[in-house]
Amino acid sequence: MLTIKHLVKKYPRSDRIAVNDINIELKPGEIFGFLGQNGAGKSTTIKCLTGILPFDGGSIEVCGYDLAKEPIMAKFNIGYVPDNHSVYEKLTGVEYVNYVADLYRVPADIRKERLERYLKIFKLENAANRQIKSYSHGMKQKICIIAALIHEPKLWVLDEPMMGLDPQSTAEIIAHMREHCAKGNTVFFSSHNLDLVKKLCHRVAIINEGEIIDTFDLKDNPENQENLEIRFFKITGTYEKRLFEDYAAQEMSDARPDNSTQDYQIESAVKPKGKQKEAEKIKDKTDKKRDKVKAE
Amino acid sequence: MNFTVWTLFKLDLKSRHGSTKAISTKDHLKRFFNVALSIVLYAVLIAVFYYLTEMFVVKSQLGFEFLVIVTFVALILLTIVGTGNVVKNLYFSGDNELLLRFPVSGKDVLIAKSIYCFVSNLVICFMLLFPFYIIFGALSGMNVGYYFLSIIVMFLISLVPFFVANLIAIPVMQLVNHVKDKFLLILIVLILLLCGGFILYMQLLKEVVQYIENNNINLFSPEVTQNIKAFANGCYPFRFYADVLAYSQVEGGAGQVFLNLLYIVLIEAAIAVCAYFTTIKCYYKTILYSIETGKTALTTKSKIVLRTQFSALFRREFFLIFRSFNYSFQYLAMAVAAPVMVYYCNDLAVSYGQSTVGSAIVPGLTLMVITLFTTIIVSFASTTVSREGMCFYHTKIIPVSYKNQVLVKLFLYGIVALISTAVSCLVVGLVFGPSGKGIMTSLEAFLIFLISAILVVSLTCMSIRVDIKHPTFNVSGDGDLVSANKNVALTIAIGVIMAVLFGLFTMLLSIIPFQANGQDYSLGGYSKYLILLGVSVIMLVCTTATLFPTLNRDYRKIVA
Repeated sequence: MLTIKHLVKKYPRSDRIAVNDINIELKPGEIFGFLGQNGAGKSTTIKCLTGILPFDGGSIEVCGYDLAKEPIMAKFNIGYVPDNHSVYEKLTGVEYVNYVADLYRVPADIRKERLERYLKIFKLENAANRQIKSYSHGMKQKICIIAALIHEPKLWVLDEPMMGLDPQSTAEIIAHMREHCAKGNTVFFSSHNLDLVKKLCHRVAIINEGEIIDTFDLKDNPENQENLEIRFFKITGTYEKRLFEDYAAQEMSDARPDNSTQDYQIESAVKPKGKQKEAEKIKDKTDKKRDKVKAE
Repeated sequence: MNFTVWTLFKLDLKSRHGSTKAISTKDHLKRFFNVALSIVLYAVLIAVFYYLTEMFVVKSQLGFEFLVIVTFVALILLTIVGTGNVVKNLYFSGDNELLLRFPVSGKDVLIAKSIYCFVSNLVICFMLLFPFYIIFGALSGMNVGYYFLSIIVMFLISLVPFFVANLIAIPVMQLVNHVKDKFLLILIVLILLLCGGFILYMQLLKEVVQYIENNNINLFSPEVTQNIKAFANGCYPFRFYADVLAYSQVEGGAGQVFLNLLYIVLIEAAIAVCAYFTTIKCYYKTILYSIETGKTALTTKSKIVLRTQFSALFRREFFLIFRSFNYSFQYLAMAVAAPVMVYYCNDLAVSYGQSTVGSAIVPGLTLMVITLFTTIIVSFASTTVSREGMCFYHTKIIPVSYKNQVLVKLFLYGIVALISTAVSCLVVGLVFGPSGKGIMTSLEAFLIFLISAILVVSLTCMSIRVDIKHPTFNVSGDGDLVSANKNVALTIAIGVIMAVLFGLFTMLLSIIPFQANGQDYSLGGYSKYLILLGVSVIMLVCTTATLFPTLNRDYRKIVA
């Protein structure tokens, strides 16, 4: 479905190689997670494989079409959801999806059925005929997702898709990713949500400083699922025992701060000029009270 | 002035004029040229003042009347400029939403911004009236008291437009809030304003040209003189300002000077009180309403039908232009207004040229004016890629070749400019052709159209090429380009040069006979058009040859 071989990308006027010798092969019916820190090269890789950025070396094949040699055929098979949800804001939601559907040659009756279904799923029916400029962040993300799916792409590429979405829409996207793959299509998505990747993806790749450090199976491999977080932290060079333990503890337990300090925080939050001494007195008083409670 | 107001005022100044630190040599040069250009324009304005003052004061003995007229015009002009300034700075300023998040009151924001508006109004008023009062005083032989009082009058004049602007701004804003998604209505209003303004300007120019031609004859007929006097006498309250200056020259007129000053102060105080209470009461509400309705958008139902890729791209591009005030003005309004402008330019040339070089210059002038307007319309194409802004990625992911995408845009930009050119030539052909004034032939009009049409396509190709090579994705929140980029300036410069060269070539060869060794080499008739046609075709070949062969490679390289 997608074959990336020895992909190299270097931005003009930059000494750094953004993406270096990346190799990925995705099979039909697979959900593939792409992990990495901010600036690791996730978005650059995605932009190369969707045709947004030219690349300096290697090759990308989508459904057997070489992106460099047959870009139009390759693009016909891709649906892309960007991370910045940029859309033509002067068009209405329906106009935008219609425009995209025209470009991908989706017949009117099929498009109508799909559009109605997606608008209902993402609760956009009431906003569909309004200009996109009036949409919220999440609504723009949803219209991007609908536009990316309107031609039922073989390869669905999403760059941090869950950002800014409400829980219901997130659940819908997850359900749809599963449904899309069940039909023999492929999903490639980048994310910072390790828990979601662990539960959803068949395979995962971790990229660090432009290079893929590790690719491993998650499906039917409880050990890999179990160790995803620690592998991610170690691979990306961000592993710190205390930090990782905090992260693991947050996953397991209640992460709310202690309520006993709340009184003090409210008092100290407002500190107008001239009232500083008064605030300090209150702080001393609160500290003493807390010490007393602790001692008892 | 309290600390918050002062801080906001400083912030406002910094955000408008930027920091003076770390300015490159290029910026220094840019500033220098801007200042030089401003000085030249200001010098022209002063020359016009001198000319008009001489016309009224010396030649027509209408000194006082002229003073009233200037006060009247200045106040109207300053009120229009001031209202625009107030609406732009107080209501349309993008920082309103930002400032509302800070612990500052709406009143402080209002005062800080009002200070800026008032200061800019004061500067414009002094720049406009100061040279006028000096010229008027010098030509009328006024004494020192006049010059002293003129400073007070200028200050008083600068106050009225500021107060009135604050009063007008609120209904203007409410109107703007109500019509902001009525694109067709706004486009029609823009076209009417553009055409109306241009016709008015050309009529005035015609009058001035006629005056220059007949400057030995008394400028105003007794009837016109009587009307001017009647207007000046009844022009209250504007004549109070002129009375202050006029009575300063009359012996024992001090009482009248003070009385008129008192009238002015009382009127201005009344307007100021109204403006103060209205603004304090409505400002915060109005900007809140603007912010809240800022997201109000057009709602329209669309048909779900399968269109060709060409048609889909064409429709999208058209909607993006049509639904933007800036773009529809730059592109559609100019295209519609061009035939009107071409007609009036030619009409002026004919009325002026008949007694000088004759009507022979009309075809050349038509070509020049059409090419000039075409350049302005086509310069829109030099933001082809830049206008995509944050959505540029979309042009890269869709399954349509870059060449086809560019061809659609070329077609859209070209077709509007071509229709505008065709209508302009048709108008010129009908009015100045055999069935009209008989100045040019139908074939000449057709050849001019042919040359202009080829130039349209060439200039469009060149503009697109320039933007593909150097796009600037500097767009505002609603997706419009923040300002015209250097590509636009370059395209306009080249277009203007082409227009002047083509126009002058046609005009000169129409009036200058070329004779050598007894042989007449005059390029009368149609040969000059054939030469220009040849040059246009060469241009077309060159511009398409530089755009298309490397288009895919160049487009692929663009990174937003």
